[in-house]
Amino acid sequence: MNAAFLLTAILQGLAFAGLGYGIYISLRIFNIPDITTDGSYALGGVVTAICITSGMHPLYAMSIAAVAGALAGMCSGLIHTLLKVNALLAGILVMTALYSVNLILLGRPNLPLIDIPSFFTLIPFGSALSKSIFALLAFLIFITILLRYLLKSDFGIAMRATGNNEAMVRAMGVNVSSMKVIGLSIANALTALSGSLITQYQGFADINMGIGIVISGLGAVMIGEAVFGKIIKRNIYLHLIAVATGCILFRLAIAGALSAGVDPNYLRLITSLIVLVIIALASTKKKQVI
Amino acid sequence: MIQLQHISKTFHSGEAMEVKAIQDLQLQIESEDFIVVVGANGSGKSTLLNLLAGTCAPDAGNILFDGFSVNHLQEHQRSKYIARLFQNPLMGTAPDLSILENFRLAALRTSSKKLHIGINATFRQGVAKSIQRVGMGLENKLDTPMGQLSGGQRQALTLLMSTMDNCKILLMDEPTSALDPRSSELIMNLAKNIIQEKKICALLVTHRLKDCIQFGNRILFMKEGKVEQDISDVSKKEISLEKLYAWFE
Repeated sequence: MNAAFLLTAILQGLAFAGLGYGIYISLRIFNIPDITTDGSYALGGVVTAICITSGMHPLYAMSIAAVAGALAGMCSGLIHTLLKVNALLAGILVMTALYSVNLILLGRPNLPLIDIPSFFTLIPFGSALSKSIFALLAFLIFITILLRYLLKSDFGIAMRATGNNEAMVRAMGVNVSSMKVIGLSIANALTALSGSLITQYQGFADINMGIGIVISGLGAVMIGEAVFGKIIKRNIYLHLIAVATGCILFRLAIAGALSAGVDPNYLRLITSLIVLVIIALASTKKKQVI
Repeated sequence: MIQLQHISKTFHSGEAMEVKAIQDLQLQIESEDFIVVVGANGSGKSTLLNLLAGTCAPDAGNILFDGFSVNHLQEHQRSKYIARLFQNPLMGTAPDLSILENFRLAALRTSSKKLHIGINATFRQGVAKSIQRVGMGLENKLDTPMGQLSGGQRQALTLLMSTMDNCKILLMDEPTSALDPRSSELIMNLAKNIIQEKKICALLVTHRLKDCIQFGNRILFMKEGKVEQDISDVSKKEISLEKLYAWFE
């Protein structure tokens, strides 16, 4: 694996931190494997591509992408809580619907972003590479601090307790349904931000970019937790850093597989196998993983 | 004061499994009553607590708190007035959250959970002081996840948490049946002290007839969804285990 290849994997990993955080919220805080992720990730990319090609400032475009992702998460949350549909099924419904939504929004399967100002060109100095590194690190630090504050706040405590002990939280005067809707909205807003960053990084939005992305997110969260071990239980910063590290390690694992000569057509097969191995390893230690 | 007027509740209505849990129940609970509720399994004791808490809604009748109907209020809306202690000591706390975070949640029971960090040095000191009274040494373990504590410790903390702000009613559904004798005694005495200090009303559902004698100012004996016996104050002091046992005939 050469240095450029390695660096690309690390940068992609940083851009995927939003996805990792989204999965951390839906899976670890609410115990919901949220399949909406596939759709909201692509939605984030699609919305960003449309906005910046029409001349919008990249930060506004990213904000709109985050709001779009939040709306997608809200739909899943409302279907799950109001109609009492299984959370997994609610996610699949919204993800499927989003495929059409994305296609309608984009108007075609693929939209290139060539020579258009993006989040990575906002910094006025340095080489293209150092701009990317700086922008991604700034983004990661910003959302990590924001998310940590959210989870430590009174609202965040109620949110974390909701997935932990629903009956207790209800007795504490928390509306569990709206908490789940808000949680899934935040998770999918973060996921959409990842889609937005990756779109700007690779220079195009693609209608199929979200397929299987939820598995990458799950894998990243689990790798991070496995590497950091038990210490993350007591400290939210550590848990978030573990998730972000997991995102990078996951990208490195895939880059490693590709550079070892694996046919790119097998990429999703390999992704699934990597995640399966992590789940299998974790479940030999304790009974329940997901 | 709580009034239950002509309350009825049937589960699986119209099916073969139909259970008439509560039938035309009439009950008035004074604001400082400590009521011990006994009765055979299926006599409607737990349903009575669930109706008060809003976990289930009555099919007919009215529930009034201080003269106001609370029929339309859902469980999380009634939590302003009600604290609950369950049979399962794990039910009242969030295992992955620390002791301190659990208490923070409890402190916010009646107010909105805002986007600001509420756990500060003052709050930490307050919780440590409050936990000291149970004498389990937990005041030095405030950052420990709740899941690492024993059932008795968690039940004691649940009791402290649920009554730390101005609740009016404490509902206890066999709170000590999963605990060892020492923990049980500790929990019951703690409950008794809190009820007296805070001047709140309490309902204790139990199968331990000794608890009827030892605690409370009033005994309700329930049978087939109705109040069969309602004994308070002077008459309660004269009650004996044999007499209680005879009710179950």
